[in-house]
Amino acid sequence: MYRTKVSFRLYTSIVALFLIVVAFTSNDDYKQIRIPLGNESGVPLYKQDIFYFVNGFDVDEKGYYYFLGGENAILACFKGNELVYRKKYDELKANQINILDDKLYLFDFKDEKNNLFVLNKADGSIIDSYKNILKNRVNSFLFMDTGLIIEMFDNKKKIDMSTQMEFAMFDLTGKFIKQVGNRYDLPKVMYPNEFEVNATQFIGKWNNNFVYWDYDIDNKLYRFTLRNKECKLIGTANIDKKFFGKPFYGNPIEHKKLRNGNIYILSQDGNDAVITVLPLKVLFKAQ
Amino acid sequence: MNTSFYNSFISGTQKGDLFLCSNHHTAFYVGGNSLFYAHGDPGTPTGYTYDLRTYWIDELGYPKVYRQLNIRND
Repeated sequence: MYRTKVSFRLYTSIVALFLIVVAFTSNDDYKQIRIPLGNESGVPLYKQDIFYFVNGFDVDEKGYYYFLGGENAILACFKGNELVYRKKYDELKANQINILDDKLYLFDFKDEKNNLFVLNKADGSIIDSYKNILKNRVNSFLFMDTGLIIEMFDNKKKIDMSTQMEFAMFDLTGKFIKQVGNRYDLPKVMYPNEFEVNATQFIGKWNNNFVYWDYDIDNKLYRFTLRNKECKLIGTANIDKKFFGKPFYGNPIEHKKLRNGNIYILSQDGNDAVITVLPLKVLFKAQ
Repeated sequence: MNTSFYNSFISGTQKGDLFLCSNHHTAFYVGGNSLFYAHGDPGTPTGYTYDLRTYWIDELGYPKVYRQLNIRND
């Protein structure tokens, strides 16, 4: 009897130790970079009341970080937590950004201007601009590999809570391409009804599979899922939200980027911006 | 997604309810994860956002809910 008790205690201790090791190992696999917030030398932002806004965030193929924020737009580029350059603009306001090759794209829909800008990502200089690419009032937009997808109101109808949104795709010179069915231009099978519309975020493709993010509010978990082209679930990973820090205003899609085989999550911890790098191979390992 | 407490809150709401979030923010609820309000970022037009569960409730707690009642006098 005594021997059984000892064996049971030893077994439970080993299991507990194993779980602790696994927990620590999994967090150690995820690198975090901290950069101070600030419009002089840090990550540019706009503050209102208790809310902090960082509008644009992206990562290039070398792993450099780009942020666009501030009431008067400031672009800041960092290598790790070292500033590479920063640039202020009068021509545009802070919005979401997208890096493709050596260019940085920016769509400025504030004040209903709807201007598309192309910047040189090496120094932030403006290379091209396409003014007022659509007349409709814009609700939101998202850069995808295939172009710019804009969620817009029908200007001919009165806007109320029953107004249906329309999605349209534009190329990166501002030319209208086509109407699309959803904000990600995903086929219906990849964005089925079981997903809560506009809450489950499609982050991007990895090895021909599809990566999504969602938030489990009751358990405070960030949920990452991997699905194949039939939308069959082939991988899941849940990480405590606390690990990432506090989200910026709106916890926007912009702050979750899939680049270089990693997911980059931008959050806030006190006066720092925190970038968490989740290698997809580690996140979905053995699945 | 089955989020029990959240789901029970949402099941008691109606499209058109006014949400007051921790005295900081007021928005119309339009169903699902969606709100309609004046955005806090300067220059951003009033419109829909899809961040009720993923941001607002999580950061500011469950809102006070106000509903217009249609009372007939005749």
